[in-house]
Amino acid sequence: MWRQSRLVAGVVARNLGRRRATWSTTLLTGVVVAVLVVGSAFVTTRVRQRIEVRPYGVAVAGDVAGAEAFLTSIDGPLLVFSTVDDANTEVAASEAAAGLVLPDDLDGRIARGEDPEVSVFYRSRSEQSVAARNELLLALQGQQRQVVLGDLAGAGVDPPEPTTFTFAEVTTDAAGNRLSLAPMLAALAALLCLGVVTSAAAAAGGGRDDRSIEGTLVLPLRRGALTAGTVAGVVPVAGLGLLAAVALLCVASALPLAGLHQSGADVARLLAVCLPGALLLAVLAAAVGTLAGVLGAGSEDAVSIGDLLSVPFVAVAALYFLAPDAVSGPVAWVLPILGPVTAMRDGVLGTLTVVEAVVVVVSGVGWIAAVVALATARIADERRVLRTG
Amino acid sequence: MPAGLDRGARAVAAQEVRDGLRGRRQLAIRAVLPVLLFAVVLVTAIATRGVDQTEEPYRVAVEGDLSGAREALALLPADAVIIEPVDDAAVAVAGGATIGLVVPDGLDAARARGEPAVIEIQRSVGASRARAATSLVVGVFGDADLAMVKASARDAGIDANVGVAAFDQVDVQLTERGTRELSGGLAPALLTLQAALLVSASATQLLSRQRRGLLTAQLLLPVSRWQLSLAKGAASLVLGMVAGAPVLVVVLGIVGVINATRSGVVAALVGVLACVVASLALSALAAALGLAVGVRARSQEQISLASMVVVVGFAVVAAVVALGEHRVFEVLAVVPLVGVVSTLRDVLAGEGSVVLFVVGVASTLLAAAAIVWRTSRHVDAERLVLRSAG
Repeated sequence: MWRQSRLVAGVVARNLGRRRATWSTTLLTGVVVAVLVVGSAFVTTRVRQRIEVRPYGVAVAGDVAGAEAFLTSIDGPLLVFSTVDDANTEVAASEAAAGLVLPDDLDGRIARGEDPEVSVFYRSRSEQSVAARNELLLALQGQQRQVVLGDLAGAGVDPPEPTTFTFAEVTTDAAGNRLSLAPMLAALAALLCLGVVTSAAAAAGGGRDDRSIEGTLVLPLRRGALTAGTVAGVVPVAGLGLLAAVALLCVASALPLAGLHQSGADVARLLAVCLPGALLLAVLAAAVGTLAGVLGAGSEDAVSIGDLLSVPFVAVAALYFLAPDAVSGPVAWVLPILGPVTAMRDGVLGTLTVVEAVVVVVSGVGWIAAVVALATARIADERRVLRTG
Repeated sequence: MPAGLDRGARAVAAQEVRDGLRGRRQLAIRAVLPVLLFAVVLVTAIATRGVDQTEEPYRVAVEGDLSGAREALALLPADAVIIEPVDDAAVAVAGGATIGLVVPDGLDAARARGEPAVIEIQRSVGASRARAATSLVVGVFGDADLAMVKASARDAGIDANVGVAAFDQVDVQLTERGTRELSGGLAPALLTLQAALLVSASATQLLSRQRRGLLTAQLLLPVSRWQLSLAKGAASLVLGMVAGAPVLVVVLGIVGVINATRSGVVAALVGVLACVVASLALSALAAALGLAVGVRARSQEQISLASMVVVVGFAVVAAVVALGEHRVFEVLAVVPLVGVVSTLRDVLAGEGSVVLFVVGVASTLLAAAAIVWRTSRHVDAERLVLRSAG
């Protein structure tokens, strides 16, 4: 069985390896993904640095002339006021972070001891707008405080001391950066499995397009050897993009451009935990792709079935992108896809234990064997039909 | 079928459509897959972040004497802030906490005595969410301190509530206009993403045909290169529209119901019609791109790479142009894809110009035609090789 599987794997791998367009494109996909991720990280860092120093635009409508003193009192370096006709429209159209509608003669009414109402417009779905609203509220709070403090000083009363704040910008070191790198790498690995499934499905299903499947099925080989050999043969080419992308991203984390500050030793450790995890994922994805190839009536059909079977990979990627800390524990270790992805994340974080690694590998191999067994059962039926025919 | 097709090309297109419709399993998967993917992402998002994504509370990591700051921390609104006791707030911020607080020893006692107290706020540079959380925390403590100052004033016989402006907060996204803007962006985004999935399917179909030798037979037909390409593009478009019907029906339903309840039946019909036209234009562009990729590709991996690039491009347009905070400049209506998405968003938000929408659709259709024309030259090159070989 082992020898037969190796034989089939060799034939499949050689066949795919001969097609330069196949493996070079798979490799290029990995490189493109890595470049896109590093590029977007670079741009995000630059954009965040610019946002940090950017003040909030506040659109002001209503009786601006009658509120000069009020506006001066809430003026601050973070708020830039501009007079408009309709503050609501400006905020709704994202032309301003927040808007103010001033009532008539605001300064006069405040001076007369009234409590006039100023409308503040903001967008709850925009953090920028919420922050601008909060700054306005803080400014108003400061103004109120000054008024009361003035009254207290006039009465000769010492006010209570306020709680004050100091601000520290968190500059993340190598270990801190790995906290954000870990779920991103794990999610990306799960997402890149889509390409592995498609590639394996096309390779396995392509046998029906060129009718080579019939010749293969009548060979005196064990049915399990055919599917296991196909999976093993497809992995070196189909998994190339996934492995290349993961390896490049690990290496790129040491580049100053990425801003992750990983040292050479860190990169070596990342590679040591990520590549085996990615390989396990690649084999599982190749097995799923082979199953799709076996189920499909040709490469086109196999690819569409592969797309459907890839949905769990998308779900795991979405889970890691949206809630990086949501998954943990032994239940996750034994689940397909989730196990290797969780182990990759924990490995990058440095919390991967030997027990977790062993459980993930053993259960991962078990899941791969289960998927291969499914494909084998299907191939056996076809072979029976062919031989009967 | 497009009126520009001659008899031979119409036959090719009809054959391609029939062939595609015969593959019911593939068609069903292509129809179900986008719905399934959207559902998976939506369910994951709801499961991890709750139904109302905007109300996701800030994660505030607190380091220091927590037992001595119990009352002070209780001031933070429980629905907006999740307090996480940690050993190192900076590490927690690096790990995803919105901000970190380092509270001093005996904070509650110091505040009760009216003594000064200093809290350190730790946050990442440039994170808008961290800025919003910071101002919330500072504001909450400021409110409490203001109340204490007012109490001192009252004790001194001073009316502290006199002569102060109050803010009435209005969330424009909860107004009719805000909801219309949001739904106006959602429909173009869904249609754009749905169209993007057509690229891979069309290209894979062509490659499969090429492998089965069907393309060779079609290349030898007495049909001009342009007509042949157009026929294949039209067939891909028809199959794409059939496969995309579930998403289109959902989008049309949402747009129709929202517009009908808010602005009346006429506005609903205009919105639905605009969505159908935009969907056709977007699908035509995606089908043309799929044709260009499928004709040139020699392996499924090449299709995957090209499709990935196209999907990323379409997704960026969906995120920035359809769902982005800022409306794009009107002049961009002439840019294919961007034009149709931005003008559809404006039309659905009730602020668009029909003329600009037509310009956007026209520019996208023209781009699709240009891609098909360019592809036809490649098809012709293959045909020349075939005929020479003959």
